[in-house]
Amino acid sequence: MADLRDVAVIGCGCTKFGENFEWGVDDMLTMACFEAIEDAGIEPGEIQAGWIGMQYPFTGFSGATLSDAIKVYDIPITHVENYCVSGLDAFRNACLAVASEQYDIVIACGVEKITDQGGRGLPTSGMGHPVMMAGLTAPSAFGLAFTRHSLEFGTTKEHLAHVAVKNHRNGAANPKAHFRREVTIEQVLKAPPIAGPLGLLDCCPISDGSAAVIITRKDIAKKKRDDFVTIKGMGMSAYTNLMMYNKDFDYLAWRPTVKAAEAAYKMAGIKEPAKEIDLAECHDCFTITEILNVEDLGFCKKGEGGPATVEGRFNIDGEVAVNPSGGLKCFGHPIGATGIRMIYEVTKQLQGRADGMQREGAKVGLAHNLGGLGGIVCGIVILTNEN
Amino acid sequence: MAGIVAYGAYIPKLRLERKQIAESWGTPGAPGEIAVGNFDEDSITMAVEAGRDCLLDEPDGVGGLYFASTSAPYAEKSCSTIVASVLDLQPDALVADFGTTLSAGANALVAAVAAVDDGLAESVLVTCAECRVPEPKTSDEQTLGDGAGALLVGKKDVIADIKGLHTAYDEILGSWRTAEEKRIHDFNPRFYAAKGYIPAMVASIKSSLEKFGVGESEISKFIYGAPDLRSHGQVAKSIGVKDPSRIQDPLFAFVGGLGSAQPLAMLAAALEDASPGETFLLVGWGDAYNVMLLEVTDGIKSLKPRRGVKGHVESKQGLGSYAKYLRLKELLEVDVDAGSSSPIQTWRDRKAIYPLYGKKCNKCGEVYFPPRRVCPYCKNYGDNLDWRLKRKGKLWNFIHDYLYQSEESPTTLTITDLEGGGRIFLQMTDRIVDEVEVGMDVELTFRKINEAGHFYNYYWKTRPVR
Repeated sequence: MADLRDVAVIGCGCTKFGENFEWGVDDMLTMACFEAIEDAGIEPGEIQAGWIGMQYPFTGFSGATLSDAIKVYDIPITHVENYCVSGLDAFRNACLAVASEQYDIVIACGVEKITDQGGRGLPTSGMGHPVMMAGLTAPSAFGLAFTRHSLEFGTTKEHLAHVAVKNHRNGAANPKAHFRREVTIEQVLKAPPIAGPLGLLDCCPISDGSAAVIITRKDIAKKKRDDFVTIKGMGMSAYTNLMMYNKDFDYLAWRPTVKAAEAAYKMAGIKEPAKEIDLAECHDCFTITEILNVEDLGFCKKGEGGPATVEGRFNIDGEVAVNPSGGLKCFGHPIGATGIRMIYEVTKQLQGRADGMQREGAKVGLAHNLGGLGGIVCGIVILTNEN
Repeated sequence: MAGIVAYGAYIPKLRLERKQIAESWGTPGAPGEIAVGNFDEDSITMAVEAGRDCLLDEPDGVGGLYFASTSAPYAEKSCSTIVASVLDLQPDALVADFGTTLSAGANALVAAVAAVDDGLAESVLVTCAECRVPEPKTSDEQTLGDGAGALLVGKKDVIADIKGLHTAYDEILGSWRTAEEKRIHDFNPRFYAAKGYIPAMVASIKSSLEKFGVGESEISKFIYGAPDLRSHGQVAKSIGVKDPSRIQDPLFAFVGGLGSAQPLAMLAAALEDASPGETFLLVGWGDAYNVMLLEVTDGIKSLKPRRGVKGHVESKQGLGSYAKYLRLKELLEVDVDAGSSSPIQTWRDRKAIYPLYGKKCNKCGEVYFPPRRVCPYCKNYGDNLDWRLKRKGKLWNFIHDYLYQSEESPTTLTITDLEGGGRIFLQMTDRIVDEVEVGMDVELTFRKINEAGHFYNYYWKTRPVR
């Protein structure tokens, strides 16, 4: 059996994210998958298995959503649903299958078609208990962390605004990003309120989109291209849907991020993340989410996420370039597609062919995908071009 | 004979000044204000709150629950069983629903006395709540208020003995509402006062006193409701009581007409100020004019303090605008996503949703909620104990959410550490946005969450201590 470190990404594709009113699920999935297939230099018929990340049933049911899009019949395809980590978990399962040598070439993709639903925010109706969970929205579930984090560490709304400004600066340069414009601190601070300190510009948008990657083993990858990237570390952790009832949960850290990072860093042999990682696509569904995440990932000390962002330590040329793509905040967040989109971005950064802002000389990149209301599950993948 | 063992009341926190209604129509406004149930309140939730005030959240030994209202949320479906479940009454408790008449509250009280006297139940908690919908621009609009009263009828620890009962009825069309309608009709209030309410009330008082062999001057307080303040005063005049302190305040000034809940709330208010030996004459009104002669006992001195009518009346918050009133009374339609729900799930979770049971871990002793089988702290599986959570605690975390589609924006979401253990996530109601802070004392209140699944979904919320 091969090792997870022998698993390579040889092709990746991604649609433009945004309010893609003119494209359906099938359109976007097809575009992303064929871009990845062409990028890998393979034929669709070479794909031996597939994993597809989708969160919402109105986007699609089961693995056949993928086989219908690219017409690869008669192979195993698995639908992965794991909140906002659906995409990254699809990738993880695909990697494990390749590492086990069950398959040689597989596809992992993700898609979400949210705008057909109308309404504001992510649909939560029918999710969770009808009365016990009534009222909880995504921005509130994450925003609850601000209340405790600001009491403990003095984090401010201005700190949050700097996350939005940084990610919009990066995303504005990215032709596939949902938003192509920068924002100012003042605009972020004056945006209409959404939840607690989070204004409209502290929240990622409602986006449609799809992303796909082709995965194989290193020995096969070498025959396909020189600049493939390989897995260096991987970690995944699920906590609880009921964190708001748990007195051990302090809202100062996303526990799944901490645990998944421990596992990924251990596998990668990373001791000082801020020095050893060049860039990170980090889950920033809301600005406060990124503040805690950069602390939990060890990019700065606990409690310093706000000031460290203000100091520019996570800018494209900072200690760690955090969200060079623009992140969920600016690039967009079609739930099931996001994790794969992160792999797409990290891969292209490590290949030196980023669509937007390029982190110069990047050797190690991290994809961090956090899901569920208030950070229930987290998947982390560390990729490298040092093969 | 049975007696009154305890009293409770509930008046919603929101109030609308009468002049705000009048200004909207360009008509002269009366002084004072009316109490208006919030968007998450109805007769069931208010009956629960009055019942809790009466029992002080200690339901042990209560043998029955009566619910009375003309504005019950269900036309077919018991409300008393919901109230009894929330109050955590024993499964063999006697329950019954009374409705359709403004004498429903007093009727339930008489029925409770009969049930206790017959030995059918050791005690019966009578709850009565109203949130009637007037026709806009009528005098009813400035008259009616929302609220509830509760009286515990029993034989032990009685605070007021029942010395006599008298019954009477009167058939006349005063105010009415057909089964299909939401708003009440009031054809001619002056006709109803002159030919219905006043003569019936006066006759009932006079004949009951005669029957009881008690002189008018021996009654410390006449406690009777009325359709409006003017009619109420005319009854006092007709029975010849000149001392206003002997006529119990009908609560019109700062609460409004409580309809069938009036007799219960008024008796509760009278008992708040009562001294042993005082004699009360309580009269229901509407269609039945049942009379109860009461004598306050020494037991009144040892009754534990409660919020009662006074405490609730003092704790108030301006509603703000007449438009909000129209919406609260559902006279203004808005499109609200009701979400989804299931009677099966509600039934399965009834012990968590209604009396708010969590679990106490048999191994580590931690209290946790929701009541899942495995302790989230020590992971003990299987034998954890059912545990009724306390209804107060300290706010540990909160956020104001502007995204959730609700009648009230923002929706305040709270995480509370409860007294006696357990951390719980709940919406907060009856709060002022800028006054919510970590560490504040909160209490729990039973509210309507939504109408998902075409039925009323109830649960608990937090609120700042009233």
